[in-house]
Amino acid sequence: MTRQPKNRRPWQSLAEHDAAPRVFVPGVPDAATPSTTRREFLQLVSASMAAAGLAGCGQRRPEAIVPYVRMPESVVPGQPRHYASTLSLAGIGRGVVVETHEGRPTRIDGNPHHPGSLGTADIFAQAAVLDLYDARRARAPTNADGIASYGALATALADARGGWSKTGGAGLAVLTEPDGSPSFHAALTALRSRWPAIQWYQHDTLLPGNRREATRRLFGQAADAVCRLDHARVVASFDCDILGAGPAQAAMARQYATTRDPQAGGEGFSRWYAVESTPALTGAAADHRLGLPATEIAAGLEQLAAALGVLDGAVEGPLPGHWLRALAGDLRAAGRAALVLVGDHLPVRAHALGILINERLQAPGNTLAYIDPVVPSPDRGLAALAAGIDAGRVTSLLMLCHDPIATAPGDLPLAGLLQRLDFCVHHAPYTGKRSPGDAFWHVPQLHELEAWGDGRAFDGTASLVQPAITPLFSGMTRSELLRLAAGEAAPSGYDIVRGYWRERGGPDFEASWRESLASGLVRDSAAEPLEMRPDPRALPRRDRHSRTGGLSLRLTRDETLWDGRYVRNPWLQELPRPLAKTVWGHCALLAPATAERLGIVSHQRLRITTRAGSVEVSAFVLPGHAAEQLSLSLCTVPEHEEPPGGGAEHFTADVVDSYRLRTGEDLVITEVEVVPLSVHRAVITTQTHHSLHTDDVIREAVLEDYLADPDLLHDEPAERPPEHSLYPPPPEGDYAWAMTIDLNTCIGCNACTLACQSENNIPVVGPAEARRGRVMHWIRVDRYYRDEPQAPRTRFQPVPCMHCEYAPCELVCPTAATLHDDEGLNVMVYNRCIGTRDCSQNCPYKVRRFNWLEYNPYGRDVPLSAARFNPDVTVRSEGVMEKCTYCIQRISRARREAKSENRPIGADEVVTACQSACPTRAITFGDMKNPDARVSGLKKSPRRYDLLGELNTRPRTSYLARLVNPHPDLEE
Amino acid sequence: MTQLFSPLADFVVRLVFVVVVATVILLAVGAWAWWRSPYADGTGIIVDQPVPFSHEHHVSGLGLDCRYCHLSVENSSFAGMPTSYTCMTCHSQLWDESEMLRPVRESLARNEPLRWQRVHNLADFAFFDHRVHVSNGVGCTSCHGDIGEMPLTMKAHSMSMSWCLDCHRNPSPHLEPSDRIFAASAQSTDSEPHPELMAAYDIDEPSRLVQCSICHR
Repeated sequence: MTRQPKNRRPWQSLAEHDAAPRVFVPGVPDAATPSTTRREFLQLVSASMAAAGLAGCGQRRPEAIVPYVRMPESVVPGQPRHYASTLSLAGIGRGVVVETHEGRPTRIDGNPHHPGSLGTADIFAQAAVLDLYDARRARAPTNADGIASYGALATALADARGGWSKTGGAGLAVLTEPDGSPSFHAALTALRSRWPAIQWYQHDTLLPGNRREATRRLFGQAADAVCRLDHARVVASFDCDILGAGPAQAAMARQYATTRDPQAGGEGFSRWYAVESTPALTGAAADHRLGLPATEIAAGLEQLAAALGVLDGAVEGPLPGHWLRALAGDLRAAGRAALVLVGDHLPVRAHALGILINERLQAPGNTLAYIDPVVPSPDRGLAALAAGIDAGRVTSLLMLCHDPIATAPGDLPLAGLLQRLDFCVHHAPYTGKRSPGDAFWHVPQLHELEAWGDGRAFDGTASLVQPAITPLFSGMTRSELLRLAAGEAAPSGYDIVRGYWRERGGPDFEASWRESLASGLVRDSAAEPLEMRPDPRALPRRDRHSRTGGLSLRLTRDETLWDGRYVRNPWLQELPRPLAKTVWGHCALLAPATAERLGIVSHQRLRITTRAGSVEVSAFVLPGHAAEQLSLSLCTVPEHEEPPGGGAEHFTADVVDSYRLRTGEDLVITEVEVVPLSVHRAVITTQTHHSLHTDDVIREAVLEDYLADPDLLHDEPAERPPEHSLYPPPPEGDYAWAMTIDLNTCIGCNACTLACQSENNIPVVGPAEARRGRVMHWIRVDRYYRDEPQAPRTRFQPVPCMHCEYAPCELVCPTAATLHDDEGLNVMVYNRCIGTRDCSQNCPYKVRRFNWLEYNPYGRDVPLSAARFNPDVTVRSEGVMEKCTYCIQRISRARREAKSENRPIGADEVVTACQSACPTRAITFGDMKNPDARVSGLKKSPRRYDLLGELNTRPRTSYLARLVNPHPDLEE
Repeated sequence: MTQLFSPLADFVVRLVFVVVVATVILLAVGAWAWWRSPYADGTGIIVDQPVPFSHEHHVSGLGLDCRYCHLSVENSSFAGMPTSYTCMTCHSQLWDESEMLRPVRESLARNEPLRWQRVHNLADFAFFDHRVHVSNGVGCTSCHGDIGEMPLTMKAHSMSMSWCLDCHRNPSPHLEPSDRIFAASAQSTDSEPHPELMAAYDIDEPSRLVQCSICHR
């Protein structure tokens, strides 16, 4: 059957693609040369032998039990407590549930009631725990003289206030970053009405405002578009990574997944088209993907607009004719159920065309709604502020913004201009870049996990931020600082946010406030859709002068570091980026063909120069990348900040200050010069660290074929051995734990990997160890390609421990440290493990991780780092093997609760961490013996298959094959 | 040819041999004895506490229920330790000027918690849950010994893995009827099995209770 794509050999790296037949490609390019001499080595051996003898001795260290002085109401010591709160990304809130143990936040889950998270938390929300416990956060206000008091800050503000009152605020500017918090904007409005001449600027690192400008021109007012992907049958994305990292990722991914369910006989199964420059999750999920440089994508949109009759006449463009015909035909046929998405970095006209196409398709009201902007904006950015300072219109400044100096475009000399100010207060969690002589005040910003506040979701739903811990270091919220600036003596975040909602609350405010605190959100606060018609005459003219040929540079948001603000977060630094699988540093991505033309190879250092500046960065050749374009994510290089008291886990990543390349607000830069240098610095990529010896890793089928013959995915390898084993059958208990992973809905977002890391106390190993292939993640998301490197299809496969019923690892353990329990778990007994690593050698799935060094910052000397640990999970030490346990602590909790209440464990009572974080609900876990459990049903699905099933390991983790829905005319 | 070794040398060799063997045996016996002694596992050794609290006085003498102070024992893995406020419910009236109770008064006044020293300190890779034990017939005294007879608290059992397994392999003789779970002194020293209690508490097969994953995770 030729339509069966599953038999095409998948590949993981270009080296592997070029080598045929499938061979082992060493994943570690150049394991660090040992820096130890023979003599030192012998010394170390003898010292460690002596130390080994000592390790056997020693009494357990005495421990104290520290009870409360007065116990807070309803606390049960030893039981976790959960708080509904909000964490924001790009100013937009995602509802979360914070798990705290004895007052320490340890884990972030999604709030099931919140429309932006729907019960799952993305990687940034989950990693917030690590930011909270970061010892490098600013701890006290500082000014030119060093550490200062809040009293001195209040005095300085009072002095400044005297000047503002004389002039009505002239000369004072407020610089914000996007923030949807209603109470913050109320405080800002109050400040601006008191001193009407205040100038308000906003610095948005990632959004150039083109989308907003397009709505303003076509509708006469700025608006946000809220997508309903669950209503969409045909979606065309023009470089819009709607499934990728972002504040609405969880909601969008869930909506996408609901349209990929083959249960209803293919009814409502969506078809996705993606035109993409930098490979992203949306393109990987799409049924058809076309790689085009960002400079040409707008022209493709012109073609589509003409094909759909939005523009008159035929338009030449980069989209191939058959592709365009198929896309336009599908969109027209889908009508109201169609949706066209346009990437933020595309020009205003592209956004306007997108609006007009959607209007022509009658998408608004079904797959799309326009609402008032969630994040208020003055539409004046850093450039306007710089001009204001330069012209002397701004003499004092409140900077309520993460790190404007480091994230300013390279051609904007903001640091120098700020020196001209008479008075400046910078409010941020980190001190950031500052020169020794500057007269700024720096005020520490409280982390959202320790502050009161509120936020708005992507659809406008308001939710509350409540503290899960008292502030670790002194600090203020933005609203508090504004109130302090306005003259309030000791502003309290709680009073501000409560006061704001009391004014808007009904007569029974107390009850609704309590309800909002419990559920995390303000009821019925989603924005109303606006009834608006775009005016096609307002379509901006096509800029015929814009250069489309030649090499260009696209600056992207980073998939794991966002705009660089998470550069200090070790979890996010060590989380492989979904496509390139790079960690601990970022690199310039380019297409294989472009690399060949320019004579560049992966890991080679490049000097990239634009009109604004120049950086040196390693190159990385990425299959599927658009030709004649380089992609570099925006990042900043943090100042070297030595945390007080030292501490482990502070590694230096190979990041570059890519904001230096940015000209103005542009994210796509056409005037770029690339010089390959003779230096190589290896990019750390984890994809080839663990390879499976099979070609049958990802099964997939075309939807139509599957519906016609659901069993077509079921064919087993020809020489499958019979189902019996020499070893005794595993014991059988009351429950049989099992998991299914649905490759059809997995979008490769990595939320499971980070959820597992935070739940299971998985250590960070740092760049040097990551380079050696020692990243510890218990669930890795493998990325595979099919077809040719220019236009590959990308597939993701999360791989945790399979919990084989006949587990190869168990047979080779000399100390029985890994063995089966009667519920089918392949358990690790850490205290028995002596570290022979035989089990890992014998594991065909390569899911075991070894603690080569003492990776965990465990112990009394780093209390802040140890505070994040989950107390229900053993913290492993050096020399111990570990791997996915199916969240045995959660199974154990459910068992103990059930046993105490004298009942069996419920059908879907146990939820693993990866399952709880998966935005598309691709992971299902439960008791295979219980017919009511969801996993039992899924195990019987015709799409189910076992990885390396021919080895007769009988894995308890099964996969569900992927279905693709290509257009009949576009199949190769 | 003269003798190379004097007659004494023979004796010395034998002596050395005997001494070496005896030393090895003594060391082995000594290590074994030490390992079994309270020095190794801490049983019967009184740990210094900020306040010399007497379970004998409060529990057997005054008849306080265990749960008055250890209030989360039925709801949580951790039994709970009394807050300073709990102590002061009585001691603000009784012995309110006692020098011995000064740390408690100061704790409440300064809002600084007392730091009790752990008596039963399990290894960090072993997880114990009070709730599931007390709700399934394991009484306080089963593990904590005759706590009601202890003027100062000490460990009554070794809390070693083999000691835990003794009961997990054969729970029946160690079970208490539900009205005796929180009794201050051990009910009986009999080792008779209680099949009726096994049924009443619906205790798992011992084969389930000795799975590694029951305690290690």
